[in-house]
Amino acid sequence: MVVNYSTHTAEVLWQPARLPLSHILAGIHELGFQAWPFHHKQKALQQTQAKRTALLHIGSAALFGMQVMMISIGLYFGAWNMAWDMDADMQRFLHWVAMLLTVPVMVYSGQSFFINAWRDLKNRSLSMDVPVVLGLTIAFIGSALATVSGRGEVYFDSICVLILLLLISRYFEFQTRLDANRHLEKLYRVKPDTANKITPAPADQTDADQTDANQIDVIPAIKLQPGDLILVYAGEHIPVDGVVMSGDSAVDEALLTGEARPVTKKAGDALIAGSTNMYAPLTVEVTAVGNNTRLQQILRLIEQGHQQKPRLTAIINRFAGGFVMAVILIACVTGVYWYLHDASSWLGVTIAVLVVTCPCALSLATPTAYTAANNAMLGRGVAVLGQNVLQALAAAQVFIFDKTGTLTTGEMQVSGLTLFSGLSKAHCLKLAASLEAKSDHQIARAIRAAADHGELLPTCNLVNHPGAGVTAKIDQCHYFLGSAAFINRQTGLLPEQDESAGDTLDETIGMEVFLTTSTAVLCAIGLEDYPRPGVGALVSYLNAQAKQTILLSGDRQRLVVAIGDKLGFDEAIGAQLPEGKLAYLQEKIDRGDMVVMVGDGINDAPALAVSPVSIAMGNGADISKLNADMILLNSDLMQITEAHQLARRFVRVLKQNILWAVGYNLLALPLAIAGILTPWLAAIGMSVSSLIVVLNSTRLARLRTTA
Amino acid sequence: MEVLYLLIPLSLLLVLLIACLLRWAIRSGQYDDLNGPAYRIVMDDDRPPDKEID
Repeated sequence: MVVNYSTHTAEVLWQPARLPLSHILAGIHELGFQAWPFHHKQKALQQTQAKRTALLHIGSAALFGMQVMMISIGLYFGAWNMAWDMDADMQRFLHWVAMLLTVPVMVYSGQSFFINAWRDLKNRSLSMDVPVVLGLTIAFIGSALATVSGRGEVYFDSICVLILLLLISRYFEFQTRLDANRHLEKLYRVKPDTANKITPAPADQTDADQTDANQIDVIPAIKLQPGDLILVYAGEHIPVDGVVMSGDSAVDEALLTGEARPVTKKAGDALIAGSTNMYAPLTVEVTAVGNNTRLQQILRLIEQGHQQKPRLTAIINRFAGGFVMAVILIACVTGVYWYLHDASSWLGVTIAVLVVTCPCALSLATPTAYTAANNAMLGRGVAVLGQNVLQALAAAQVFIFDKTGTLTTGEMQVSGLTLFSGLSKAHCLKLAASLEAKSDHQIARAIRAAADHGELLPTCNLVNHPGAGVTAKIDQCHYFLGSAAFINRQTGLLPEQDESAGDTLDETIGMEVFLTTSTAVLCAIGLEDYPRPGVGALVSYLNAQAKQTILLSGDRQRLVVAIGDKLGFDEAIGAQLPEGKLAYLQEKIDRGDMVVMVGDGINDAPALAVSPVSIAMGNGADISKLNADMILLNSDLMQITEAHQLARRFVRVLKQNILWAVGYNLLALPLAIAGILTPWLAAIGMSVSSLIVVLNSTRLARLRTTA
Repeated sequence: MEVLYLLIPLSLLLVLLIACLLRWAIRSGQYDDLNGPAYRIVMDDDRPPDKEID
């Protein structure tokens, strides 16, 4: 059984034959918690209910508390102002009224404290509610006795202030947690329940009017199988992962990637479940359904990440239990001491000690900061999967990058064209594109993309030589397209190149293919694997922060060094096999460097697993197999800058929170013991310090850097 | 000052009344969304019901 504190969910594995679910729920109820089978709609309903109840508690505490305070002012005024002699009857009357008004605050508004404290005591654990309840009870009983007997001080105003302010700080904490879950909730909610399944028309029908002949059924999305065809209308959510079969449209993937602009999709492009089709209907072939979709994989990873408890929170929680014990002991000792020395004020001092030292702020310091930071990250398209990653990222000194697929898009593009004959550039490209028309290789796609205007020429006798080139006849003329070696073999046109002589600048950037006829070289087409946008900015940001940036790649050393220099890396190391990368990383870690590894997750998986902080690209193959701590859902490298800034801000907020919470308790405790702090001051101090911590954490969620 | 013996119980009644009002307001969902209603005026309702274009 795994419990997720921030989303208030528990995951239970059980054997239905031996133990019915109702028994588990009953067992949880016995522990003092309420449990329901998970359902996001029900959860949303519960949250609305919880919010309303909390507001009602706060509202009544404020309403009745104000009356009590007004009466207290009257009482103080009567006590100070000797000219107007408040008679004893009036004073007793006011005491009674104040008590009457405090009862609903205690019983109704403050019920959650009593319930929590009782649950914790029953389970033999000490939470921060215990001293609060102890303080409240002592204060109320003491004041009630004073009211009935007509002698002694009353503390009804302090009780009301304490309950009101504590409720407010809890409400803010609740709100932060809701905000943190809102993004996740959105992901849960978008999945549509139905899909329009296309049943292809029987084979004997003609191809004309295909769409009319096809039968379209609305079926539940869960009944879809991979391989099914579905129709997604404009404005609809896409229920499954799939590939576009026909149709041209744009798709809004903002939910998953944080990318606000719609992404254009045409036949052959992949779609992810949870995105929205914007403009035109798309026919989609289903590739993954239900739990196998990318959306579900990401959700699972994030939830698993949340279940891991931050180290710091665990330490503080263990510490807080002992702390509460100590507080109660100190309060007892102080109470006895003051009772012996100054019997009139022992009650007030004891209450002050109990209330002021409650480690509420300390308990809230880390969880609120974590939820706020994780939420802010997710909002920017960075999924944080480990709980201790943010601190590590903030402290990181060395950033190691993979090249292909990480710094570069992994997609070839035509970068240059060198003409060797009288033909125009456009014509050369058109010829080349026609030759490559049937191929799905990266180079073919790049050339087709470069020549994307105009009809392709009809070809015949097309022969594809995998890994080398193509030959075909266009207009009775034989054409060859391929690497220099291939052309040389086929036509003998290009002289045999020796490898070292190919050390031109063009060669270091990418590669070259040649288009020839059987007698003449027509042109050379340069192809380049372009860096992703933002790489330069990212590297210069990291260099400005005095971080070490290293490029680690499996490509040829010369190529890697050239790219590393161009982009401004401190160091560039090429010709590394996955094992080599791993060894290099291990060496850095052993030296004590805090290393961040950024990879596309496919060939870097071992290195990502070893690195203290690993960041993977969200478009990597199977995200559930990535061993990454963070995933860039939109594969935008610039998010690393933001994540780094956010992580540093997170650590700063965390430090502030803990420092404030500890410092406040250390400062307030002696004052309370010495009897300087009155109960109402203690109540304000304690609740305001929790409030400060919670609000400080929410700063993380609010601050939006310009994206 | 004897009038206080009358006025304070009266104010208690008033407080009770306000508490009931608050309870009603919260229960009826008036505090569920504090930002949305401000945008209601710019939300057009004249979109035809979602009939799919085939």
